[in-house]
Amino acid sequence: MMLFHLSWSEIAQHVVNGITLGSIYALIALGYTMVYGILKFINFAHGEILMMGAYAGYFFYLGLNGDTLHPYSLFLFLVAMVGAMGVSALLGVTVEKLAYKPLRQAPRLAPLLSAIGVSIILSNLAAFLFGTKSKRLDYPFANETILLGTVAITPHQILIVISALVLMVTLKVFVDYTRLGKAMRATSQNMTVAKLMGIDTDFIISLTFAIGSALAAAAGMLVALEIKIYPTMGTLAGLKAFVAAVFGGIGNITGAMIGGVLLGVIETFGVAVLGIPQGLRDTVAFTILILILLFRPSGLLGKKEREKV
Amino acid sequence: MLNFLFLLIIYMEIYAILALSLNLIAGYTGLLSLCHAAFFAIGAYTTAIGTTIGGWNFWLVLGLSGIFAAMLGFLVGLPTLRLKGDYLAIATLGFGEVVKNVIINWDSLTRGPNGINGVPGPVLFGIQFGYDTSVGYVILYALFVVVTFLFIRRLVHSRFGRALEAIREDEVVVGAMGINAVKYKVVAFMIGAFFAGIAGSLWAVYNQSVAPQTFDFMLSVLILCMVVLGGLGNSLGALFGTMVLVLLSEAPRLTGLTSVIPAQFNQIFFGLLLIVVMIFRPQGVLGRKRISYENEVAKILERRSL
Amino acid sequence: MKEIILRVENAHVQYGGIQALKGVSVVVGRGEIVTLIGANGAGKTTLLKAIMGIEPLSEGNILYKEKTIFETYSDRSHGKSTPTHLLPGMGLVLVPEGRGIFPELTVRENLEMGAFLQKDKKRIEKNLSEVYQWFPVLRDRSGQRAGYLSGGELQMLAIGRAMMAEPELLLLDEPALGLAPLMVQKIFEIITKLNTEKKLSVLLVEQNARQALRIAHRGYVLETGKLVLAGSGQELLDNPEVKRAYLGG
Repeated sequence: MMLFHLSWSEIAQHVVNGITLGSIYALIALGYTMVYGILKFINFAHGEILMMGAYAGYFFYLGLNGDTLHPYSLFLFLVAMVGAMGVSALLGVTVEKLAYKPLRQAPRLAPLLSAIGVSIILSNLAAFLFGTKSKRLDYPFANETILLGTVAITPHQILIVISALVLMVTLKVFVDYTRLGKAMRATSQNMTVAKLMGIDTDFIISLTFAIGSALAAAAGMLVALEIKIYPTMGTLAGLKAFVAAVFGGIGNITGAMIGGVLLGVIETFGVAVLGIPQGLRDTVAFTILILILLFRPSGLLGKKEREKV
Repeated sequence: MLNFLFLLIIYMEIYAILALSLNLIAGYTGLLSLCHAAFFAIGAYTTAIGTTIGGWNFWLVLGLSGIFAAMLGFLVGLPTLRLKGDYLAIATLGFGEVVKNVIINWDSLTRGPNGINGVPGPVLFGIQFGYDTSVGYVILYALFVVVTFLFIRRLVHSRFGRALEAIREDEVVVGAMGINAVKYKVVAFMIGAFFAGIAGSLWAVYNQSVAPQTFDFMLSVLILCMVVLGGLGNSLGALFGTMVLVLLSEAPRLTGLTSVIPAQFNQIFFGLLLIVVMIFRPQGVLGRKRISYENEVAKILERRSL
Repeated sequence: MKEIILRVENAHVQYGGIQALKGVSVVVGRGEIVTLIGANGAGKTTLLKAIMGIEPLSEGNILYKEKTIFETYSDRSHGKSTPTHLLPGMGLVLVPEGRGIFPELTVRENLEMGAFLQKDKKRIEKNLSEVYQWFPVLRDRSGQRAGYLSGGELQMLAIGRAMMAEPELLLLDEPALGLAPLMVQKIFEIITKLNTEKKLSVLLVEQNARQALRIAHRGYVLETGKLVLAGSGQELLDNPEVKRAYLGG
C-alpha cells in the first residue's frame, strides 16, 4: 500500500526517525515552556545553556571514561549526563538571578534583550574557553544498526527515546503529584496568590529554571553524539525547540512534549516526502511557527488568552 | 589610517539609517522587530542584482531597493503584527532566518553563499564613485542620513506619529477608540523597512559586493542595541547609539590591539553591555520623551470627528 | 486590655501619582470581627494589599501580633518589609478580591495549596474534612477543575482554602461581591461561626455595608483614602451619615 509514494516500511522508518528527533525537541522545549508558564518570559539563552551542558558532559565523560570504549562506557556516559544536567541547572539558576530577576517588573523588551545578552556572552565564552573547532563525543557503545523487520534503528536512537521518556515521565509525575510540583503549577497560574499561600515564589522560579536547564543539558548530550559539540550548537536547536513549545501551547508541559515529537515527525516527513532540500530543512519549523501564530497562537493545548480591558 | 577613519564614518552613516528606521518601528511604535537585517539584505541584493545583471542605473536600483524592502515589510508585517511583544519578536526572528536561508539557497539569483561581487559605484555629478572616492561617499551618505532623520522626525511629530506612540503605550485602549492599530503598525513597519532597504543599497554600492553572511540575526540585534542604547523613541539617541557601537565593535582595530584581545571579548563585552544597560538604564543614554498618551489619543480623535 | 492582633499606623500608599491611602490607622483586637466599609476606590482593597505586602507602603507601619512586619519612613531612611510568602506562616491570611482561585487546579488541590506550609499530613486531612463539613458542596466537587465553579462555590472554596492555613487573622476582600442575597447571607453566617467557634480574628472589607456592620464588633469608614469614621458595629449602623451614604437612607 502506498501513501504519498511511500511504502509502509518507509513510513515506519520516518516515524522512528521523526520520534527520535522529536524527543530531543521535546526535552528542550520543556525548558522554554516551563519558564514561560511561570514568568511569561521567553528565555532566549536557553539554547546556550544546552550548549554549556553539552560541553560539561563532554569533559565529564572524557574524564571518567577516557577515549576508548569500555563495557561500562554507557554507564559512565549516563553519569556524565547527570553531571552535565547539574552544571546546566546551576548555570540556569545563576543566569536567572543575575540577568533576569532584576528585570521582573520591567517592560517586555528589557528581559528579552538581557537574555540576548546572556546568549551572546555564553556562546562567545564557550568559543574562547573551548575553541571554535567542534569536538567529537564518541558513542559510548558500538552504534551498529539493528534491523526490526525492514526498519533500521540505531542504539543511539534507542538511548535518546528511552532517556527522553524517563525524564519526561519523571517530570510529569513531579509536576502533577508532588507538593512542590503543585506549587509550581499554582505559581504559574497566579504568582501573587501563590505567595499568599506561603509559597516562596523566588525559590519556585529558580527550581523551574534548574529543571528546564537540566533537561536541555540532557538533550544536548544526546544530540552531541550525532552532530558534535561547538559553541553555536544551541542557537538553531533552541529556536526549533521554541517553535515546538509554541506549537504545543506555550506554558503547557504536555503541550511541549507533544509539540516536540510532532515537530520532529513533521520535519522528517517534510524532508522525505516533500523533497525539501537539507538546506531549507529548518524553514519547516519556521513555517509551522508562522502558521501557528497566524491561525492558533495558543497552540495545540494552550488556552485562548483574552486581553482584559 | 585616514582611509580606515573614512570607512568608520561611512559605516556609521549606513548604520545610522538602519538605526533611525528601526527606531521608528521599535522605539516609536513599540514593535519588537528582530528582522531588520532582512530588509537591509533585500535592499542590498536588489541593488547588487539590479546593477550587475540588469545593468540599471543607481537611482533606479536605489528606489527599487527601498520599495522591495517595504514590500517585504508588508508581507512580514501583515501576519505578525497582530501578535504581542515576545511572540512578535520570535516571529520576526523566524522571518529573518527564512530570508537569509532563501538568499543562500536561491543561488541562481543570488549566487548563494558566495555573494555577488563587482557592484559598480554610481556616477554622480560626473564623478565615478569607487575605491578612491571615500570623501565623496562620506558626503553623499551624510546627505542620506540627514534626509532620513528629517523625514522620520517630521513623521513622528505628525498625527500619524502620535498614533504610533499611542499604540505603543496601550493598544487595547487605542482599538477601543476606533483606531485600526494593525493598519498603522504595518505602515510604520513598511516605512522602516523602506529605509533599511535604502541603507542596503548604500552598503552594496560602497562595499561593491554583498554576501549573505552579513545579514544575520546578530546584525538585527546589533541595530536594536544601537537604538536601545541611545534611547528607544529618540532619533538623536539612535544616532548616538550608532556611533558608540560602531566605535566599540571596531575598537580593537582602532587601538591596534587586535592581536592582544581575543576576538570573542568584543562580543562578550557587548553582551554584558546589553545586560547592564537593561538593568541600570533601560531608557538608554538619552532617555525617551514621555508624552502623555491620553492627550495624544484625544487629539487624534478630535481631528477625526471634525 | 484586649490583645491587639493587627495594628496599622499611619499607612500611606501611592500608585504612581495618586495617593490611594492617606495616613490610615486601624486596629484589630484578637477575636474581633472588624469591618472596613466605603465606596469603590476608597482604598479598602489597597489597605489589605498593604497589610500583605503586595503593595508597598510609602509611609507608615504595620504590626502583627505586636511585631513590626512593615515599616517605612517618608525619607526612606530605613524600613522593614516582610516578604509576602512568610505571612501565612505567621497566621495572617488573605482571601483576595476576585477569590484568587487557581483555575487549572482541582478543588481539592486548591484546598491543599492553602495548607502548603503544613507538613503534617494527618493535620491536613483533619482540616480538609472540617472544611468539607462547613462547605459540603466542595466535597462533592473535590475532583473538578476549580475554574468551573459558580460564584458562590468559588467564594466558599476561597474561604475554605484560607482556613486550611489555620489563620489567626483572616483578611477578607469583598466576599459578598457578585453573590446572590441568599449566598451572601450564608457566607456572613459562616464568617460569624468561624469567629465564635474558632476564635478567628477577622478584618472584613465590604461594600455591602449593612451585612458587614451587622456581624462586626467594630468598623471603620474609609473615604478616598482617609479614615472618616470609627465605632462599634451598632454605632455605625445607627449613624445618620453612614445611613445616608451606605445604607440607602
